[in-house]
Amino acid sequence: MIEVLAPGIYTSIQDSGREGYYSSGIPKTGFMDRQSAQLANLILNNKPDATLLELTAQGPVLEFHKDTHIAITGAIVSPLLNDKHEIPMFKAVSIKKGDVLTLGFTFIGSYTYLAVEGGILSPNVFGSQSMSRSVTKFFRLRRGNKLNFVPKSDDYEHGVSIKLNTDILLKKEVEVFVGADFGGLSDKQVDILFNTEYSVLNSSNRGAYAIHPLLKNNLKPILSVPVLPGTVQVTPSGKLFVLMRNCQTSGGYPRILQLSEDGINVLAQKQANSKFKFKLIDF
Amino acid sequence: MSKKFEISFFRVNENSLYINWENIVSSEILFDIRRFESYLRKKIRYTDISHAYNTILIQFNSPITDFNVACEELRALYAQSQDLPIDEESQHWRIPVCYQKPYAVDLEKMSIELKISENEIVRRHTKQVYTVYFIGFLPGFSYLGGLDPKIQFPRKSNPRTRIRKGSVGIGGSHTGVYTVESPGGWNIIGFTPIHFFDYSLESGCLTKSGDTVEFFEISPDQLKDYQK
Repeated sequence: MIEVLAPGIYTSIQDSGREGYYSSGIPKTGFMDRQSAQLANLILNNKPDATLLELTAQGPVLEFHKDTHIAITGAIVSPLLNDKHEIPMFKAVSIKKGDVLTLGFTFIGSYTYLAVEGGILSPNVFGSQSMSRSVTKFFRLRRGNKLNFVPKSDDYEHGVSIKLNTDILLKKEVEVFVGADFGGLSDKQVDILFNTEYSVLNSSNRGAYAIHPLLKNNLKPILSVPVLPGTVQVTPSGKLFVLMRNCQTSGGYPRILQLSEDGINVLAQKQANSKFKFKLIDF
Repeated sequence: MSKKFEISFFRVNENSLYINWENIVSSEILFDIRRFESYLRKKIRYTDISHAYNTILIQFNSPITDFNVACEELRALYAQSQDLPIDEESQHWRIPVCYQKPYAVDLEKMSIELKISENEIVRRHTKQVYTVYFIGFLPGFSYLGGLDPKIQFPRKSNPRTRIRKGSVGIGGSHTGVYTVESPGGWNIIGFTPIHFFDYSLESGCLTKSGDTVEFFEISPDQLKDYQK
């Protein structure tokens, strides 16, 4: 069992998200940066989409009440064990009963993943353990929460061992396909779209990243359509929103771009004010 | 014989594509979409199929290898679906709504600006039978078609940060029920004790696309009875 001594700013239980409920208006949600989350699981020999903890900005303080192994990936933090031993990221670490893990602040990247051997056990709601506002009872961890995990097996063998890899955190290019309403943009607007350095605004969250500067446009309004994580919408006043993993299932703003899976993972790791460009790719 | 439509395809991302109908809100398009969608659910492998007014979104369970081939196959399935009935039965829902204060926070303002009495707004809101076009925006939120044009009212330019679950609102030419607590810009004219999003339901939703909804007025005392 893991006891949450301090929950951090926004720590949640996540897996690969919900499937089959889109027509009920239920968001997919799931790991913001799927690549980093899966890596944490692979390091521990878990199933790639095993349930883990996702944290951002300031991580939690956790007390382990059982022996296990953990792996930390994604945004760089400086995790401390029992307030004194710094432990490595991107590597399986043995945890003893009574250990207290302090994750600290993210200083490169935005979302950090903490996987536990076997995966976190928690209620399954509409086919997933992922916490999501309005869908699950709680959308983030709170002080005093007690999380069960799959008991440590005697024949534990850890999985891949990898070098610290910050490529996904530092990548400046976010891959996109053209969106369904891209055709309504003028040549000049397209030129601006692919040559502007965009930055992520503070108001960004698991549902959408607001990005800056504005894109002046004269696109016609559209009827509400189904939208996906990675859909880039522009409002009549030129505000740009990239829908992220916990986005709503339909939307009424023109869809000018669509992030690839890699593009979503890369953008997910952009902190407020960090800069990037869109890079157009083909199928 | 039902009307024939031209459909087109657009690849969204690695795994997903849109099927588009003409860019209008029409009950005939809704019927055509629902019929095709129920056939697709039996014929293809997918993780999610959903639709809005004039678009189906298919999320396949693996990347699309050849988009043109996928479109040809879907076009053939569409042609086959034209001769089929919809195998999902539509339901009709009668939803109790309390249109009085403290729930109807915007009714007075609407009445003044529309120059229609509050009673008349309520009468017009309860006399229509609305069609559920699709579920979206919030879990279980029904996009209802059929609002009386006389009581259409623009969304608030400054949305409220918190609208209570069960609030019944009007936003432009739409009416609907907030299924969960949410920020929102619609004008709130009443409150229903009925849960449109409910964990105990298999789909999570009370309503589905193609269902019909009508509202009937209840008093604050009756509302309390429903909430017991």
